[in-house]
Amino acid sequence: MRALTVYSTRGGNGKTLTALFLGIAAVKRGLKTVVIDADFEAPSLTHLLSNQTKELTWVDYLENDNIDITDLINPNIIGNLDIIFSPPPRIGKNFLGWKADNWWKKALQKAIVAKKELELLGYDLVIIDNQSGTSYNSVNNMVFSEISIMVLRPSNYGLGATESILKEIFNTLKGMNRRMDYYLWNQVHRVSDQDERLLLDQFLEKWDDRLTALGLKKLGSVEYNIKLNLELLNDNPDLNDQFNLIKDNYNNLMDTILNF
Amino acid sequence: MTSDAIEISAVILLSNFQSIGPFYISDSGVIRITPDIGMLLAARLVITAGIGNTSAKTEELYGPLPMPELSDGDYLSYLFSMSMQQQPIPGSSFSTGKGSLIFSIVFEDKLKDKIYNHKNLIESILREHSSDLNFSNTVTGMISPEIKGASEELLKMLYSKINNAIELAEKYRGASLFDIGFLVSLPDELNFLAKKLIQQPNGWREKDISDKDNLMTLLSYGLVRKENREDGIWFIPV
Ligand SMILES: Nc1ncnc2c1ncn2[C@@H]1O[C@H](COP(=O)(O)OP(=O)(O)O)[C@@H](O)[C@H]1O
Ligand SMILES: [Mg+2]
Repeated sequence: MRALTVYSTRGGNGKTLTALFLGIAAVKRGLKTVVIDADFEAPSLTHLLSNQTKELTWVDYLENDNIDITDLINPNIIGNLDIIFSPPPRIGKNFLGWKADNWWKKALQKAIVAKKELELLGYDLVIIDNQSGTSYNSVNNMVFSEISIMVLRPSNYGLGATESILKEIFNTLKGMNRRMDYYLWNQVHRVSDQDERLLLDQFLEKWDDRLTALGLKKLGSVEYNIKLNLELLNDNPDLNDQFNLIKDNYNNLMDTILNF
Repeated sequence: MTSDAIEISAVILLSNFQSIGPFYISDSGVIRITPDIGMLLAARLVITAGIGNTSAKTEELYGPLPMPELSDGDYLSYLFSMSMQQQPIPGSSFSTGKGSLIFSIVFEDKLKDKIYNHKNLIESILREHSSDLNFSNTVTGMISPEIKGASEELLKMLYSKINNAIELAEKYRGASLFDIGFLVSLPDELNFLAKKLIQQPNGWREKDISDKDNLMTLLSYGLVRKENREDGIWFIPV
């Protein structure tokens, strides 16, 4: 079994979409896969997928000792893809960001136990939709997973900060287990104007150098797809249909990941 | 903890080294242990603890044994003893001998709990360095100035190692390896092992961890728990 987390230093880069589409690509090739929504700040799977059947969530599991993991797993939510949801975020003291240090230590301990249980249940792949930025939660999820995918958007805004955060995180993770840390360009908007294309290519090349210097490996690049973006605005979008819009792209990414 | 809260001295007893008897070697040179006290300690050891008993298992460290004779007021004295194989002694009619090396530790009464809490830690440090004391050039009847000098250096080093280690152990009290920020603040050799240990929150079999030294250090810091289960000894990351 492999555990993979999709991460970014800020919201809106496409973590959730990447997590789901990689999940769909995995089940389509017969891998038993579960996606865990672990973005406690902005859990979006509940909104995107309306067919949640299990009341218990990932948070319930992390803070209680007597919950059976199968009671969290919502089977076949998109095709054969299983999902574990998170509760809607609460404001104030009940917000998970307010939890004491001890809560997060226990959470990591429980998460690693859950990983063993999922393996015993026959899962081939666990995908964690991580919280943006650096927090106890996001770092715990990085520790949980031996594969991470940093989802980046080509924009000067945010990449500088991302670079210094990455440095910190990868120092922390060094030697944690046999790891593979990738980055993925997402929402790459290719325009027809030659000069603008050149500018984008130069930008990507510059950051490819800087990110590989940090020890990250390039997973690939996903185009900005306007149709996809618009169709996801519908209530209850059919994600299988959306996946088909850019399936080659995700199948290629999946090939690379499975080769690790 | 103040820097003179603990003192260490060493005494060697060579059981088949007749003419030398129990011999006070040196101390960490802080305040309370003087050569006089050291000699007294040496003499007392034979009576009080029956140390020097050659049937004791080599390299097993015993202690801490209270030494009420050397305790006064705010200070308590304890000793650790270790039997060891003596190097061949040139010029002596004994080619090898067996002896006991005794470390006495004097510390402030209020540190009593700490010393007991960190017994494993002190023990592992003493054990690690006990064979650094080399008596192979000792001839019957005297301990050379070189050996005495080297012993003093060693004891000073042990003294600061134990002090630092106890200080760290106190600092780590209540800490957890599952706090990643804390984990990565550990020195490299410890954080490397810790990163492995947390991958199995339910614990590891003793035989599956090769880095025993650092495991013992984590154990003494309270960052790993030891458990006797039906199928043997397990170590559980805390
Ligand atoms: N490659 C893409 N093409 C078009 N729209 C995208 C693409 N990737 C993400 N989006 C859109 O961007 C928005 C943010 O994506 P999301 O996956 O929710 O990001 P995150 O989870 O990082 O906050 C969503 O509306 C999503 O549909
Ligand atoms: Mg999201």
